[in-house]
Formats: sequence, C-alpha cells, structure tokens
Amino acid sequence: MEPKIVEREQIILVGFSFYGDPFAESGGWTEENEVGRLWQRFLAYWAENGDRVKHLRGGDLAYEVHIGGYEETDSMGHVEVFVGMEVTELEDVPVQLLVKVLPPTRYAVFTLRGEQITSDWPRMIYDEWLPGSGYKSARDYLIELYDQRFKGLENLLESELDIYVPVR
Amino acid sequence: MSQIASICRALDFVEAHLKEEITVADMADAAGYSLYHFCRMFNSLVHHTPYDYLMRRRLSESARDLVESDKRIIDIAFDYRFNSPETYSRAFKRMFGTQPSQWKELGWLDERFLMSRLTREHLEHVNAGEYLRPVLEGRDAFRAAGVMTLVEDGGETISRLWEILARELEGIEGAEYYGITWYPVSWEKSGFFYMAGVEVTAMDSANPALVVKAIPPLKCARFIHRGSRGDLQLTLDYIYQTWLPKSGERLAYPLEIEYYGQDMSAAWRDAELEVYIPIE
Repeated sequence: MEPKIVEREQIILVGFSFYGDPFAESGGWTEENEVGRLWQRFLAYWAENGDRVKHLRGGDLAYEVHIGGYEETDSMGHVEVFVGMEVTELEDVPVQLLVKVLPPTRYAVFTLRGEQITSDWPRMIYDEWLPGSGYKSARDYLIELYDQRFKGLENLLESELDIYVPVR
Repeated sequence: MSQIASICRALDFVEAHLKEEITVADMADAAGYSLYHFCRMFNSLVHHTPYDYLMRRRLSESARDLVESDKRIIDIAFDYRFNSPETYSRAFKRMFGTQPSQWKELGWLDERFLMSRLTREHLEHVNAGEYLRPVLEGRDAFRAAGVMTLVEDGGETISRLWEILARELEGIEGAEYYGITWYPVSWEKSGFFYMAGVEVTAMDSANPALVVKAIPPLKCARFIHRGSRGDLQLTLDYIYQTWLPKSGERLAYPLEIEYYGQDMSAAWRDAELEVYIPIE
C-alpha cells in the first residue's frame, strides 16, 4: 500500500460531530453504529438545508475526520468523529452546523479498494507503513475522503476510499 | 489469525491485568488491532464495549473479594484501580444494584450476575448465529409433573433426573417436556432446584410418583439455545451478564424454564431448545 504525498492548505469543514465510543450503542447487533447515525443525521440536514450553506467548495466530496489523542481515546476507546463538507470561507455558517478547521499540512494519501475499506487499515498505515517510510505522524487525526468512487458498503467491491494521514 | 483468536488474546490480557492500570489501547495492542478496528471487532464479537467488559470483570472479581476475603472495602477499591471508594461504590451499584458494604454484609454471591471470564467457547457460541436475540412474550399458567431435586453438582444430577423421568413415562406419547430451575436465596451455598417434567393439563392426569409444580402466568424473554445441555451455561451467561444489563429488563422471579418440545432426548444430546426467563 504505497501512498502519494500531497501538500494541502488549511481545510475548513462544516458538519456534525460525535464524541464517544461509536460502537457502544448497537455493538454487534447491526451494521448501525454511531458513525453511521452521524452520517444519517448530517445527510438528512443536508438534503433539507444544503442549499443554504454558502461558499461551498464544490466537487462531490464528503469528509469523515477521526480525531484521537485524548486520554479517553486510549483508556476508554472514545474518539471524536466529524463528518462534513468543505467550504472556502468561515462566514455565514448556519447555526446547526459545527466548524472544523484543519491546519495546512502534508498528507500521505492511501487509496483503499474493495475489502481493504473494511479491513484494519489504520494498523497497516500506522504500524506497518509509517515506521519504514521516513515520515512521522504529524497530527492526531486522519481523514476519510468520500467521493463518487465510493459506492456504498453494499457495493464494497467496486468502491474506493482515500485516506489522508497528516505526516511530516 | 482469526478475529476470535485475536479478541481472546485481549480477554486474556484483561485477566492478567485486572489489578493493574490498563487502557483499551493496551487491549487493542494485545489483540494486534488498531484501536478503532479493535473497538469495532470487540463490540461485534463480545457484545460489550472493551471498557465495559474491563469494568464488569473488575467489579465481579471485587464482589468475590468482598465476600471471600477480610479486606477492607477501600483496599478492594484501590486493588481494582478505582480512584476512590466513591467511584467504586457508584460503579458497583450500577452493576449490582447495591452498595459494596451491603453486599459484604449479605455475604453471598449470586454467580448468575457476575461477569464471567469470557472464553473462546463463549465467543464461538454467542456468534454462531443471530439466535440470541430473544422474543418477549406472555406465557399462560401451566402445570408440570415430574421429578425434582436440589442440585449441588450440576450436570450429573440433572441427567439422572431425566433418566428417572424417562422410566416413569415410558410408553407415553405426545408429552411436552420442560426443565425448570429455581434459584433459592443464597443458592450458591445450598444448590438450586431442578425439575425434569412434562406439562399436565389436570391434576388427576399425573402419575402419583411424580411431583407437580404450578407455574403462574409469566412475561418472558424467550431465547433459543443450540448445542448440548452442557453448553447451556454459555447461553445463560450471555442472558444474565450481557443481555439483561443491556436490555434494561428486570427479572421477575429467580426461575428459568427450558422447553424441549416433544423430544425429551434433547435434554441430553445436541439439539435446539427454548429458554424462558421471567421478566417484570
């Protein structure tokens, strides 16, 4: 799994956030988990109000950001997950939406294909690729970037998903 | 390495470090997964979050220490890595519905509600199908006639009861078979009652060699158990330690009803049977 290295300017996202154990509620009962519910909440809002959001940075891009590095991430398995769209200006944000600003940084971009998407890819990236890569993890977050190449979990085999890992 | 084998390494890791400062990230390391993937796997196979399982194991072992040792409550709290007696009491009450001090005073353990050390057998059993999702339903009152005794050694006595019942009922067709367990107070010391029986419609239809037990109308959670009766403990552990706290239901009586249908041989060979747990 070889990434390409890209430089990105500051990224401004508007969307919804979850903090906790995403699997605590439904556990093994269903495919549903808090990340899925977060997306449902966000997409329902977007379908109704998306056209009120200004300065949208076009393209069919949806961001899912996983933010760790809290003490509770390690001790209890709690993470922050943010889902949203990219905007170019920090103005006119509807009160229902949260804003997340990601700093300018260099990213290693991995393209996951098919079953790689549901595999333990964070481990492949952080435990296998990173140590021998000459890079270091630069920030305690990573981005899953969904575009039209992602066809849904029910069409996993035809899907692709890009992972952005901040490196230095 | 299979997912279950990896998760078992995390379960073993928990057992080896119940009294040490460990984190969910350490459990993920033991399993060889990333933290995020580990939480997902653990939840889907164990049906507890990793942190919830760790806390329940610590609280269950501490509950044992309360009854079986002379240690002070505050020392037990610190042994199991609680920051203060208050956080320990709160967590304890949340799991067992009583304070550690009351528990110690009572002086006996109801093993049904202590979180078992989960094993590969548990995980394989619970994940062999979707069948552990119960149906909640009402049951009419019924009478069972059969043989009943106090069970202290578990399986062997129960097998003997079924043999005796089979001899008493030789030649009878179309009977519906039930195994009924009743847990008296402090049953850990005295044993529990078990009845191997058949449903009878009227008192006078019963063989005088048998005892009759009347079961009132109940609201029940009905589970399907697959496997041998020996594996029933795996299903019961799941019911009392995982399903019950998750569901928010409360037990109405300390009673379990096994229903074997018309084939009593299901009581001693691999088969499918229904387990009814009375709820409020």
